[in-house]
Amino acid sequence: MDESHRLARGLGWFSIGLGAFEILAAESVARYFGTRRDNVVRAFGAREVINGIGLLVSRSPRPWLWARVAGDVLDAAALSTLWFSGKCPTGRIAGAKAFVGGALALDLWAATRGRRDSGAHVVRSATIGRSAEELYEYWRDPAKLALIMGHVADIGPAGPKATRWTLKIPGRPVSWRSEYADERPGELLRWHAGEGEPVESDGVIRFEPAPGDRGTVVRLNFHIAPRGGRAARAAMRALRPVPEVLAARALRRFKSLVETGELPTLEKNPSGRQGPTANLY
Amino acid sequence: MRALCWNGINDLRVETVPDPEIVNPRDVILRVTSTTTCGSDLHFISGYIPTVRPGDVIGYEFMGIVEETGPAVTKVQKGDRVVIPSFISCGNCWYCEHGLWSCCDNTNPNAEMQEPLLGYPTAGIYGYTHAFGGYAGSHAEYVRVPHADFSCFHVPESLSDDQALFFSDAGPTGFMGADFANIHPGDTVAVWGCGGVGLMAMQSAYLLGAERVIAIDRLPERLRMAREKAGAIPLDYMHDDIQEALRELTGGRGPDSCIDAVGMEAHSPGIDYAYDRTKQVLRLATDRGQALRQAIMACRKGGTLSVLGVYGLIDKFPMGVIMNKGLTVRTAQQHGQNYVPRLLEYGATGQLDPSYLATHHLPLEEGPEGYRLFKEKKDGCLRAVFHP
Repeated sequence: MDESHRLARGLGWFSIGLGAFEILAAESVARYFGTRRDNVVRAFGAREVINGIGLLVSRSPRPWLWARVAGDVLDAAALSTLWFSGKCPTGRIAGAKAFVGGALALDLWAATRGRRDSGAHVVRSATIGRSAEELYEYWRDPAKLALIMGHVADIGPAGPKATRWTLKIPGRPVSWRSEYADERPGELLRWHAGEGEPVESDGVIRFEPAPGDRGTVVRLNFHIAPRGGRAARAAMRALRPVPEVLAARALRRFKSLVETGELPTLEKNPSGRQGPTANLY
Repeated sequence: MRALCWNGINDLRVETVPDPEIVNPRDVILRVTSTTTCGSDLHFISGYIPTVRPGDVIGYEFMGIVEETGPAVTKVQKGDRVVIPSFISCGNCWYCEHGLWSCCDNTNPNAEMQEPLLGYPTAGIYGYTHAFGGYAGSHAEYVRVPHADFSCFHVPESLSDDQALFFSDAGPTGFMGADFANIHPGDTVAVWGCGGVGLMAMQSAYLLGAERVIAIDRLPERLRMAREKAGAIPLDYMHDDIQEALRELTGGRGPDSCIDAVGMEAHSPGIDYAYDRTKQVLRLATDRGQALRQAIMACRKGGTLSVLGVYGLIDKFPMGVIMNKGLTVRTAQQHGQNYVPRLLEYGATGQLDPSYLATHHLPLEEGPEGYRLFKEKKDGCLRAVFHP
């Protein structure tokens, strides 16, 4: 578990503790603030508990951290209402507001940190009915790799041991040079993009014989992250939800291309719809 | 060209849509001469299978004349009269090479959409939702047929369209159901559902050596067809106690094999039907599983259950009955390419003539009316065949 997850878990337990206190001691809390609306206090407690559980069980805690931020703002607003009602000593309100303010600062920090550099790490396998040597040669050929990656990037050769990738996304073009760091025909191909490029990428594709008559197991394992520049960061954000899907699709395309010589497609598929999105679901 | 499109739940219309074109080297464009309704259509037309999109061209059981061929097509040429299985299969992947054609790895352009639902995606189908590929269907003047060398089967001149059409889907699906049923001499096979697929399964069971076939349905005209055309013993589940009738017809043993050719929209007189129907109408469940549960209960110990009906996420599935009786369950979407050549042979030698399934012939323009007849089972409609 990395540090940002640990902080999210800590905030989760904090939410549950505070929420449980608000639910169990609702009457005392309400009385402390000079109000009799203990059901409102219980509702706020329930919100905290749900938020806490969300933080603890979710694989990606960020939406729940933003929920905590929203909850803090709600708490502050409720305290302001109490202050305007004039029924509660100002000192108690100020103390509570300072506490909420501290929580808000911590939640905001937790929700926004770590956004910059995490990138994506993807591992995905496919079994393809061809020999490891044939598959290696296909992937190593920049023109063929361009067919495989046609759904994400334009690819061209960049010298004998490198390719140039240009992402197919709207907005400013994002392009980088990827060097082959290790080439072992019929076994693996390792690449690296880094120094001086807007995108940092390390990856390896391995070819291993599959059991029986199944061909070759192809394992794709790569990390990709923006290195600098707004366009690269925007591009990575655009791709972030789907790198696994894009990798799975790349392997499917690879498989269909080598096994059948073509890609399954809905291009020019007749339908009662019109326009560029007619064949997207 | 003109094509029958789905535009919403129970809203079908014939519209003008762009003509298909050759996109891949192994494609052909087929001029459709006959294309028919199938019960599986009704599930998504009624909204029980997701990922249909308004404007989708439907239909997947068809035949026609090759109009144009892609550069990599070698086994068919313009003018050939062919019948085509409804699943699109590449012929080259491990699944196709092992006869599991509907599991093909290389023909579903929307594999990512289906993967979360099934774990591993199936092949694509013509005109059967976007999760199953999103390909335009056959209720149209023309259709693009990918991997034509593996999908186009030449129809002998001696066979009429009506005799060959059902070798596209009802025939191979029914035959596969009987093939899965592990039939030995002396066996009794019970088939739930006397639609096109069920009737084909009954005739196939005899072709594979069954001693006796029992047909279960509620529509008198279909039970009559099962008796007269397929030589089956008819049972009406609205009047007969099915478990008792099957037990007595099999000397207290139960049928050796049970074939479900009904699927997720079953009917029955029981309380469980009311329960499932209510949940389905409220969209709390996708399936009404009465036929399947009845088949599981009826099957003899150690027997085989062959499931051809289409299902979603069925609940109240009596796994304990299957386990304790030691049943073998076999099922698949149709691996049509395995069976079409054999069925065409049966057709040519007169051993299997499915033309009686075509109870209604209509021009494509009357497609919506054809589906109304078919869905409501009006006028003795078993299958409506459209001629674009």
